[in-house]
Amino acid sequence: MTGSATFIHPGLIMIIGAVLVPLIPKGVAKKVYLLLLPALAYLSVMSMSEGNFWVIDFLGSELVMGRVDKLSLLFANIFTMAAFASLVYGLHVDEDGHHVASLIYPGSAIGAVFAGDYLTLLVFWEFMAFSSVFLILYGKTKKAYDAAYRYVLVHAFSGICLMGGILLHFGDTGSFAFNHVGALDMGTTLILIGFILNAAVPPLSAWLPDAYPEASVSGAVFLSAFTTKSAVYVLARGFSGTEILIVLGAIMAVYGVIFAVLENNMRRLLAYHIVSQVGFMVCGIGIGTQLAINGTTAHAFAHILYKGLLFMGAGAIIYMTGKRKLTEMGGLYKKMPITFILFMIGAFAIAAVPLTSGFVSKSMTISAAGESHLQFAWIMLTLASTGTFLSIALKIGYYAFFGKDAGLEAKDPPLNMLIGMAIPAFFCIFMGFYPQYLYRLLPFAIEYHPYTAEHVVASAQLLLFTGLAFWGFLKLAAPKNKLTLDTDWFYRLFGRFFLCFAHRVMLTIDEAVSNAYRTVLLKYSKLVAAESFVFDVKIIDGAVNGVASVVMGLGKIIRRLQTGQLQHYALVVLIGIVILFNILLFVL
Amino acid sequence: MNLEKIFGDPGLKRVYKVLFVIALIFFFCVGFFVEPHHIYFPWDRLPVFNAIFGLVGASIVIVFSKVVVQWFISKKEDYYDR
Repeated sequence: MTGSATFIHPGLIMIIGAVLVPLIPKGVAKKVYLLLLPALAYLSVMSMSEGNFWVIDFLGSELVMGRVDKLSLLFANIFTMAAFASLVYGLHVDEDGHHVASLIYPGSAIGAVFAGDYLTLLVFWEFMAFSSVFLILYGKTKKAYDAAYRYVLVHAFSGICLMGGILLHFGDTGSFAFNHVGALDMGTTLILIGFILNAAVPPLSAWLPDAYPEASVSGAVFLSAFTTKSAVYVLARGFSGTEILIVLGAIMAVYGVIFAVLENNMRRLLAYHIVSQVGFMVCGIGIGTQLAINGTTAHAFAHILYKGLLFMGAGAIIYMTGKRKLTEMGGLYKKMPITFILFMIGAFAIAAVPLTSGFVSKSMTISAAGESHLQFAWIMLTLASTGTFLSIALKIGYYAFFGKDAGLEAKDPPLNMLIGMAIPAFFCIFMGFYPQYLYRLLPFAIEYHPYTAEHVVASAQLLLFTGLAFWGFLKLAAPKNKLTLDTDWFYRLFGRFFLCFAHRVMLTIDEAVSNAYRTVLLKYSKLVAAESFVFDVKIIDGAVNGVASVVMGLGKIIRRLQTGQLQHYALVVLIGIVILFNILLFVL
Repeated sequence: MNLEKIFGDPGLKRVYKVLFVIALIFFFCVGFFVEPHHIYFPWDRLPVFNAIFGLVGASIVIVFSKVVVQWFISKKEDYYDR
């Protein structure tokens, strides 16, 4: 089915609409307009039918801007919903630039989701990278500026890998069509690297916990949703069943948790949990069975909501108290009760507590690992589940909201922020009670029943005994005022190594050369200069002066010959003729 | 909204702890009465496997992270600013 009658690109609604934001008068009109765009995009997604739309012929290749199927619809659905909730949360922001970035960024993520070919994907991919960096810059601290710079460099690298891969792939196949990739070759491997870089797969993951915690309060909420999940989408589309992803995803899930347990900065802790959660999805994509892909997409859907909610909660604390570190918080449940309740809904959802969205989504991937008899993946993912409950619900819950009262003056944030949080919180519980809402959106129609006695009891045992372990290690698990290194150490310190190299090595060489010049060359050239001076004065000047004085003397003599009387000249001529005549006579 | 009455009361705190312990014991015991649907791995036959996994797994995560990993990669907060 090809046509454009029933397809209005929801991504372009947001991108083009974003450009007009500065022209709308401030106040209610602007707020309504900001919410109207994702609402229209959502309606557009809801009214779509499956097929290929907006197919453009470009240099003999087909570009598809609107590939609509169940997979792209699910991601577009959640992206527009997340954009709406995040915009509600960020409505109090007074900067047009911030709003423009926070519309273009989700818009381009939606564009990437509907892209049916690599060129369209690449364009939206780059748009996504360069619009999201502004959300980090709006953090407006030195750290944010530095992190944004590193972020954009990493994503430029991802874009280059992707472009290189696309061109090689085009060379091999003669087509830009973006479909499932079979075997890995040079081109598709480069594409895969571009994708997993955006999915924050270790060791290419450090950009995420480096940049997200430095973003603006509402910027971080947007960031938590789109970049990694659009990468999950393209991986699910192109690389499902690629076995290396099982291992990478399983490691990633535990890696994120281990770092999260160490972390003190609240948003950095949550950022590590994005890595961990995306690990579940990457692992599911690697497994590649219908249940696994369903699990991955269901998890992405649920994750965007509860992770956005958690970032909103952390942002609310930063917005109201100015504190970012868990060691500086404590006792906040008394001061910010609504924030506390909403945050804990997100925390329970991410920990997959029964009756929350996490319970009905996360277990699918773990079940898929079980069904495929993948012991390593199953153990790692279950371990990551315990770590998730440990480091978010228990660690943040205890140290930020309970624990020792830090005596912070705080209250719940403005109404728009609370509504922004309430939207995903509602869906976290709604999907927990009514999983069919989520399941009917999934790409494959399969039967899955999360609420079996076995599953509920297993989850309850896992979570309760994790709680017991936390209770036992309460002192050891306490956050500390420390900074944890990650793989960004290599490129963050490259500049310092370069300076050190310049300072120690290059400067030493420079000084040695200067000294050699001073001691040898300079003296030598002074000597040569002195000798040249003597040569110049005595020989050159002497010769020039000598010639001049001879010429002057001759001139004086010759001057006497020039009497100015014609008779004398005639006499000389006559004498000359006589002499010549005599010579001629003698000669002849 | 005053949550202090619900969470701040020392008497109630004791009640929560007791409830927590009761829940631990309850779900530990219930495990013996639930028949597993699928046996994918050998441990699926063990009724209290998830309880043990939760306790041991979480302890490993805490100790590994807070002792081993911390020793390698924890630095002072101004590490990158120096």
